[in-house]
Amino acid sequence: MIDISHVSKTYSGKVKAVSDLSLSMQPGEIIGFIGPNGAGKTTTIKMMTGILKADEGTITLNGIDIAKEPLEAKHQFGFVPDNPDLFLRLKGIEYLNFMADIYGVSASDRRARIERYGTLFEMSSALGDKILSYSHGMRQKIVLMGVLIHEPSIWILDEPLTGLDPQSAFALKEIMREQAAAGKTVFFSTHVLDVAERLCTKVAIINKGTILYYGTLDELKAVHPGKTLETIFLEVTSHA
Amino acid sequence: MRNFCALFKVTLKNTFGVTETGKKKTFLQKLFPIFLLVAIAPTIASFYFLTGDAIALLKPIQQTGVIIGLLLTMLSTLIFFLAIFLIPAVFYFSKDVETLLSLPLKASTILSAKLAVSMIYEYITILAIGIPVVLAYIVNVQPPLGFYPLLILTILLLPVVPLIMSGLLVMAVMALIPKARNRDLFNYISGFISLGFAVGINMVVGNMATISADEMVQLLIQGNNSFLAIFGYLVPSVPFAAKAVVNLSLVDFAISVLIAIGAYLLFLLIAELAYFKAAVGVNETGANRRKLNGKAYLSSTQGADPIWTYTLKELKLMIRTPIYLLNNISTVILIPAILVGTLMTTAGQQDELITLIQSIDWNAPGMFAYVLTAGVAIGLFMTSLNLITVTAISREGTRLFFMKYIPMSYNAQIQAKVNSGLIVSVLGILFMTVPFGVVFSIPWIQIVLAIVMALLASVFLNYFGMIVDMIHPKLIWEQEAVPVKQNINAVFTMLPGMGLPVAAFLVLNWLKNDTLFLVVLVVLLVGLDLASIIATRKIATSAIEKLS
Ligand SMILES: Nc1ncnc2c1ncn2[C@@H]1O[C@H](COP(=O)(O)OP(=O)(O)OP(=O)(O)O)[C@@H](O)[C@H]1O
Ligand SMILES: [Mg+2]
Repeated sequence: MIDISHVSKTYSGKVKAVSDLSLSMQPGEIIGFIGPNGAGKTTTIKMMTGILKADEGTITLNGIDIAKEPLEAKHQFGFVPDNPDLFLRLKGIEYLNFMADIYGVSASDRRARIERYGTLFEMSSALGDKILSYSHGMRQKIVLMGVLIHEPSIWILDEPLTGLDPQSAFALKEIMREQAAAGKTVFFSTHVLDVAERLCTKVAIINKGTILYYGTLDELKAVHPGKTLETIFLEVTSHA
Repeated sequence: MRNFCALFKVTLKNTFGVTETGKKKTFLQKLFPIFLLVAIAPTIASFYFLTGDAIALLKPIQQTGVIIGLLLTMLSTLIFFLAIFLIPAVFYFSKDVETLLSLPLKASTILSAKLAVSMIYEYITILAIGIPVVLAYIVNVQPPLGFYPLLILTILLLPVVPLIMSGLLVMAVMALIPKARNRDLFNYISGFISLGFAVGINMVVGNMATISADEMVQLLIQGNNSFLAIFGYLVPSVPFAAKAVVNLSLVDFAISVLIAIGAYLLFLLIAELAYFKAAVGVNETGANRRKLNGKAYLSSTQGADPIWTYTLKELKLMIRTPIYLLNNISTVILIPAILVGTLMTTAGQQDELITLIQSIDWNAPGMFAYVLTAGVAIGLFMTSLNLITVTAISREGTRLFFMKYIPMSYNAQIQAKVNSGLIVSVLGILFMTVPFGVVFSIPWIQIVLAIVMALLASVFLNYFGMIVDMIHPKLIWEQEAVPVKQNINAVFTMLPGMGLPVAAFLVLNWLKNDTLFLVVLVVLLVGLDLASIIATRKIATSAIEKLS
């Protein structure tokens, strides 16, 4: 469960990146966060994860306020940043074990998960090498596995599909569905409207820091009959 | 020339990363310059007064010029050694090399711009040490007007020759080593071989410089700054530069300029042959793509305390990044090796020195206090050399956001970073004190107490460095070398590191009682430790939260 209420953020007292944004997400939902470049997606995600402080408003994760109880709140979610270049000199397996230690994952769980997701993402043979030797997509997969290893109840992903090959993108989408079905909350930003259309239970459209639409796709299409998500998206964001 | 200027400007901006614009400074950041000034003032002052004292001794025998000779020799030697680390960072590990090669620029333009940027970096070092010494010289000697332009020109030119000397050394090593499949490994090896060369040269030069006592007396009594003749074995332009400034000799000045120009031309010639081939692809690394077997899945830290896991991560990242291994870790072994090695070779050739060392009575009154002071100095020296905590936040760079989203308190993360510094400091202290203790046959009680003093001093400096880097980190960089090589914080933590032993030494002269001295020193160090630990705890959360 994620609750964002009247959140605003202004950079250096000038650029208003997010203004009075509210979103409420329930367990079992997959929410797609879409909007043009510079709309405020990454800024919102940074505030949800405690990387940035919101100027106004509150954000709670499973009911825990990220500003008031940051440590407890950070235990609730797993985060995949838009730039996967994290600890390039660590080996893949060392990174996974590091994350598992930080999040306190038991020995048996971590072993089972590393084996499962390693196979799923075809990363098993790369885990013994340094992340520096990985391609962009492989780096993204290792960061994803770093989240999967602690099975958080909330998933926050910033453009997780960019750079993944079709097999891995498929695997990721399957995992997202599986996690949502298990009662977890999945929130991700994307530029791929097809994915949002097929995967998400709800979409949030953001432009210039404000939410233009938040709800199910069916409702959105009912308002704009006979149009694809792409045309609706282009229309909605250009009117703003 | 236009290309050179454009490239120089861009590289300079890129390297010294003009601080983030449009951001409001926090209160702590505003106080930062004052904080630094207070921290380094004692050291600067002690340089100034030491020089003044030395001049007072040299004046009656007309040898004040020695000060200038000594300064130029010291600075150029320092530049040579700093450049051994700096040149690989600027010329090889820098990511912009591949971009530059794709631009329509002449090789000599690229090389000159990089050389010029390295010079700017060296000037900062020169100013910190040079200004107090030169000031003391001007005040006490009152040199004629002609001294000033010559001194300024000489100082401006000073880095050229030592920089190029280490540049040639580094290039030779990089080019001669057959390229290993694993480029990281290649970087380690070549880095260490360069250092080995430097150590070797240092020892050879050290031996050449030991002239006999008779010759020394001869030179001394001649007056007229004749003593200058003993300087300048390592960097060939220095004796001419020193004579030019001290005797206002234009001929000597012209010779030193010619040497610099010659070195520059030689550098361009050799660099065109040896540099570019080795520079390309220097950022690659090795990979096996082999499937892991059962045991390898689990780390040795398995279920360990997060702070310990985090500490290990810090150490691993440093050991595996060649430039950090050289700058942050290797000093632990190399510096003691250089110093102890130099001492042994020198002692091996001069019987008087051995006799002198063996005749020291360590139980004589006052000796005890000297040993403890040396302990403090070693603790501070080894810690300020490893630059670990003072670059711990800066090394995170744009990756800093990771610290903010993991469920681990900032205090815990900072503690882990300090731990990584402490571990390396402790190793350095042991490698330094134990061999020295044995060579000088110091009683073991005194060695142990000196080590304790060293550890106490090192705890302080590790936390102090952490505070400096939390308040004023350098986060915007593209090359891994920048946070350790081009971080002004590092220089400023080294300076208080030099000031504290001076303070201890003053206390020593004043107390003249071993037990009392021990008590005062322990109280002083423990007080500094507690103050820095508490300050670190107090500011960690707010300081990290403010960074972005
Ligand atoms: N560090 C920063 N300093 C100043 N302004 C910033 C900063 N980061 C982002 N912005 C501004 O905030 C606004 C929102 O940026 P944000 O990164 O949230 O967009 P986004 O929706 O993630 O875009 P994209 O699809 O390109 O990733 C933009 O106008 C951007 O210029
Ligand atoms: Mg973004």
